[in-house]
Amino acid sequence: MTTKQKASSKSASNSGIGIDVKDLKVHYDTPDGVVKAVDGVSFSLRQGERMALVGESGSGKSTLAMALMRLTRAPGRIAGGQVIVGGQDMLDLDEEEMRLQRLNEVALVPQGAMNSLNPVMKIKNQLLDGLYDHQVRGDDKMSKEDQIQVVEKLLNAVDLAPGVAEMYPHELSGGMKQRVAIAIATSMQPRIIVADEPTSALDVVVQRNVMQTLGRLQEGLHASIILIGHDMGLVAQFSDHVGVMYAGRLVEVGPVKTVFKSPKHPYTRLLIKSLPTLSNKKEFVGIPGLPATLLNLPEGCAFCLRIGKETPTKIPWVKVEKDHFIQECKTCANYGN
Amino acid sequence: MPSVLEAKNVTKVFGGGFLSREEENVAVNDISMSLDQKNPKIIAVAGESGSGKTTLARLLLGIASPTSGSVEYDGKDLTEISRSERREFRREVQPIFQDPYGSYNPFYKVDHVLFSPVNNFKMAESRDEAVHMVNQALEMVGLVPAETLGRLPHQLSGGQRQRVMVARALLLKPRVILADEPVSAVDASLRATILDAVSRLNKELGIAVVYVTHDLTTAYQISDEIMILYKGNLVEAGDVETVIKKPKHPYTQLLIDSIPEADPNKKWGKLDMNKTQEKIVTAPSVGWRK
Repeated sequence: MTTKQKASSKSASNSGIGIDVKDLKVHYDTPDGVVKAVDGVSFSLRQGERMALVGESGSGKSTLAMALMRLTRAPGRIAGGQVIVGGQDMLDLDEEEMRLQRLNEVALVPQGAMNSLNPVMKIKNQLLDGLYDHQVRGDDKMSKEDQIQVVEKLLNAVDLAPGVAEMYPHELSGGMKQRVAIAIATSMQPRIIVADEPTSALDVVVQRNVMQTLGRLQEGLHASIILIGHDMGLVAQFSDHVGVMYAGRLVEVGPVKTVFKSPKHPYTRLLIKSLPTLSNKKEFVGIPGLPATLLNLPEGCAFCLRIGKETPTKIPWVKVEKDHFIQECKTCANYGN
Repeated sequence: MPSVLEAKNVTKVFGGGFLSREEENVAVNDISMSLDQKNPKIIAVAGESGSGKTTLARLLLGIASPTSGSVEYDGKDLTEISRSERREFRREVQPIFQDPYGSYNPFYKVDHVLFSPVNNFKMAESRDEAVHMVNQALEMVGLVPAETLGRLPHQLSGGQRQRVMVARALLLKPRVILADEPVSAVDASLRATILDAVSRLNKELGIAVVYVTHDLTTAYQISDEIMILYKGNLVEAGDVETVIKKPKHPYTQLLIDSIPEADPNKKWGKLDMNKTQEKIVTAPSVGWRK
């Protein structure tokens, strides 16, 4: 199938939902017990929308990103759930089928592009590598002219000069490398782009530039994007929806404007309160306590443990309003209010 | 006006030189700043990577020496002070670095980084007094001594490790604390507690603070004055409220415009990148230049 045909078939099968994640679980088996790094996460995202998943280090956000790509490595394993993209549950596929889905349907913009590019390979070959592997195997090799054209187009889309094609990663700045990573991720017009802290190593001005490029490409492809990060500012600027993770669980998910204006879960509330702003000086309020340890975490509310309370039973996932859900715990609901 | 620590037209050039094939790199270009003795403030030194902010911090700490200009401690050039004066300087000007883990020996308990400076500088008369001082310093930065002492560095969280470093600096009763990106390796939710501790040291104990950072938001929150560095040059300096709210230099404007504010209703990136870049090259620096 050529790229063009594929793109049209993609929009034809477009049911509105880009990705549907149901009760996804990623467990790490350790000598001390099971670590539930992702503990029953569910969310769905419409085609063409942007969602951010935020949380502290250890909240499971990067583990979740890897699981969406089915790149979870031992001792981690996907312990259950569904990841449905284009009507297909990715977790049902065998290894080879899944390999072909990556880049084609779901693509990753990795954290720290500096380490994800091959240092001894020219940029043009890295851009073509995925394309070769996925569509032009065997007989119909691309002609030299086609190659040059494709590379130039990809580079152009991420605002890089054609000359970059002949360069090696060490000759590029951090921002340029991240752009190359974005070019690779979008080279096959995926339905879903998973961006794992794509700009955490960049300066603010460069970050803004790179994010604008990523956003423009995503809109052009009408792809859904899942942005993993800890920078609430970036989330507020970039996404349509936000999911807040705590101790491997999604505690709140909703439209960015609603969640920032009236967060419903106490953890989200404190997270937003603890952010310094440029508009007014205020007393610093950190979030008290320490993030929960995921080892043998009890069923009940994880945030209660942080503030020295307890809820023994599993807490429900409830709808507040359209698109806005929280893990509702009666014990800590009004904490920090 | 007496100043504890003062940089006078410091310039630091790396590379270049007689037989070098590398180009000269002016990391810090003719920058002056002073930390007032009577009215200790928090001064933020802000800039992106390559702005020269860490080099400036190293010059102020006497870890690097300026190519031209001078750094003066109590009015005396750092390169000319005696051994005993240097020792006093090492006590009175305390650094806090970016990676709190790097400052620990992983085989020693955290007690080591707290008690050894007390012993080295003979800050306490007796063991009991030393323990008392350490406890007090830990409480000052919001840590519970019983939960902190006796542990190995990896058993503490990043935020706790960095707060122990603030406590360590505090133990030596310094006049200046120079914190180079103290919170960039720490989770956002824990940043507030560390910066709050630093800010209290300034307000309650009168310690002057140089806060080196790339993050204008936290700089705005805790400092009194701010210096914006760009490619080794001081482009704008002044009262933090004025610089952040009414930035005059195009680079400062671009920087502030690029900060993703945690408010979906305030959109970032209103300035045109290319036009602003052009302006930055030609614009004169704004604010105090001593």
